[in-house]
Amino acid sequence: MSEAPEEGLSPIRLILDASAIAAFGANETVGQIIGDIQDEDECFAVPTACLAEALALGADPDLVGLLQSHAGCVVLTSTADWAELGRFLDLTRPGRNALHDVADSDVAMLAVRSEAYILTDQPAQYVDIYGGVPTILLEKPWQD
Amino acid sequence: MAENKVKSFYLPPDVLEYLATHENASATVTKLVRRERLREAEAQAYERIHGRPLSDLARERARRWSREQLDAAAEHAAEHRKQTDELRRRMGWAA
Repeated sequence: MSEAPEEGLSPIRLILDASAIAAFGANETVGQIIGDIQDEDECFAVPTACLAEALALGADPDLVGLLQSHAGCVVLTSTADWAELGRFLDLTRPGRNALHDVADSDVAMLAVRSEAYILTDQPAQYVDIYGGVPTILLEKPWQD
Repeated sequence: MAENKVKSFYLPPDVLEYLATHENASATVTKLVRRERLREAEAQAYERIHGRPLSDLARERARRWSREQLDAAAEHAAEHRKQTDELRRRMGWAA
């Protein structure tokens, strides 16, 4: 998923992983943060692998559609640039015979490339791949 | 058959004044209206899921949380700028 936004489009500032996509609608913080991103004329990305995982986690397809209808939403095809992802996996490998999870690495690579932040309920998933990737821990919805 | 609904929006005088001088006021209004409709749809989804509407307090907390998190993420990125630039260079991307 290494496609950069087309020339002239706003930069991607935030990436929603599966947990953040699944939380949209039920958790007020997701709508707020993507609104703030758009107020700055920036975009947020939803990788296709994360969309698929969110649906498998029980995300409401109508809400996923609503999320995608935001003007600042960019849907990116996961692992589209497999050669680049291969290089990233190699550069960030945790050991000589080990690799990080491919889908998580794809999201981390997009974050590094776009200089974007990852909204997730599992920051360690991405920080373990590269410690410099900025993550935002998804809040639980607040009770009054 | 889908029913056509007409919705009206209130724009404060200062916003109207700003739009009057804006070169692409129509696009700006369209964007504002679209954002407002999406906000309403999100609020309806929240109420459907939780069985109660989103309170002003929760909205305010979310606003504060969002600003704090975006600032902290920017700070984290700045702290790791050197390593990130090096990784970007090794990936063949401009640092």
